[in-house]
Amino acid sequence: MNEDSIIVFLYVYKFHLFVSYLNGEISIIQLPYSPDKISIFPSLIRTSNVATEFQARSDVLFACSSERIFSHDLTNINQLIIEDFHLSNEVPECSQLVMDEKNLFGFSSKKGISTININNPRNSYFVKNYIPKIAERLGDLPVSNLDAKKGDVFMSIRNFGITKIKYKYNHFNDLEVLNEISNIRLEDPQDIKSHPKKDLLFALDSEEGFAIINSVSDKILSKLKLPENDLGQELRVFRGDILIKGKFGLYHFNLINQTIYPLVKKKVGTFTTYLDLIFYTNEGKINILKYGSVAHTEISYYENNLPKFNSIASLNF
Amino acid sequence: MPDIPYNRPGRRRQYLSITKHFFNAVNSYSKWVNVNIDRNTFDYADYGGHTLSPHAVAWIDDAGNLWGFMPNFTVVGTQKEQFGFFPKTINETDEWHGYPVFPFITKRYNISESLIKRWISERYLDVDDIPSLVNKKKI
Repeated sequence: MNEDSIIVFLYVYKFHLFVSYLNGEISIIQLPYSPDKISIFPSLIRTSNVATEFQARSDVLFACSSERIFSHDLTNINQLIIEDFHLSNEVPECSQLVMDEKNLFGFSSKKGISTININNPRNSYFVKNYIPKIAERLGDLPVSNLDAKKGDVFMSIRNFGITKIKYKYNHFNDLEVLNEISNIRLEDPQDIKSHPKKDLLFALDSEEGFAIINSVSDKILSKLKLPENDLGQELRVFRGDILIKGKFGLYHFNLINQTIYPLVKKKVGTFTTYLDLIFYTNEGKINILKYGSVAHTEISYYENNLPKFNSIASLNF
Repeated sequence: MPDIPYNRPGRRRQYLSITKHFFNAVNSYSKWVNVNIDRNTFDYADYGGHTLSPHAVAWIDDAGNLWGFMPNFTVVGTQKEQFGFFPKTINETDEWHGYPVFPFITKRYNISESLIKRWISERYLDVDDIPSLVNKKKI
């Protein structure tokens, strides 16, 4: 692990934890099936700008930075071989990525929404850029995140709200028509996530708190404040519920009883989820919470790069 | 309304508040909440701290641009921006100007790692704030 730089993003794919650092390095940690066997690979990927988002499919990793979207073949990752695929130079600097069944969507304030066809991830290709109409009024759009679901792309825009964009396909089966169909007003949305199985959209707003929205009608169903009025910054779907990163902790929103519970009562840098695991950073260390019916097991990766069993915390959801 | 010079006796860097970044300008440029916030943010950037100590180094990035923010990251821009960006002048004697930005919104507004680490070492930020900063969240 990189001890000098600062972790800015975590992502897990097929038992490999990808760690993005502020200096542009990306480290890969092979996760064990049991917590006493952890391999940390040397930094295999390096970009000239910090990578802020990863998405992977069919052993191809897509990542974006303020330089470009890039992709890597992970087929031989265990032999420490990661091939760099070339994506079209038309794909510009990019700060957010999201994928649906066929498309990878990236956002940059210069080119708007960039679409890449990933039907065959090894032969993915650039389709088009789309500048949202709202950019004509607001200039460089401060998009805090993207999401995509069922033919809709959602953008959360700071100091504006959420814009829903619908797309269609042409007879070559390429995405062609993008059209802004609605705006959902929020004061200052920080993140957005759709529920994978329900017609629900979740938004975090720095002033209005956690909002639950019907993703079809665009109606805001309810708003909840975070515990101690914490500032919400980041969302993830986890086992059908929602995890919320606030400025001062990590929270779990139970969809059934519509309640937000504290999960990690200390400052969290970034976090991600994989199966029943939650990975989060605190003071430069990566910690893991394992979801269980009885307890969550917490493991810390220490500065000497060797994992040590740190503690077992009884953190029941 | 004309641009407003900000006379800064004893300081090498002089400043000009630009009309197009005023809160009441009708355009798509980013705008300061008010002129005092504009000036204060530049002062903090130029002095390299909120105490305005004459001995500190300016908050300058690797490209020579200045960055500033208010105590407690109070909003400085009408779009709820928390940072001011002051691009490096062409000539050393030129007046500086600046505007509110969301850091990392484009490559031009990436804050260099060295400046971020300085803010961490001086306890304006901690490492757990950085992912939110890089990902355009409110901090």
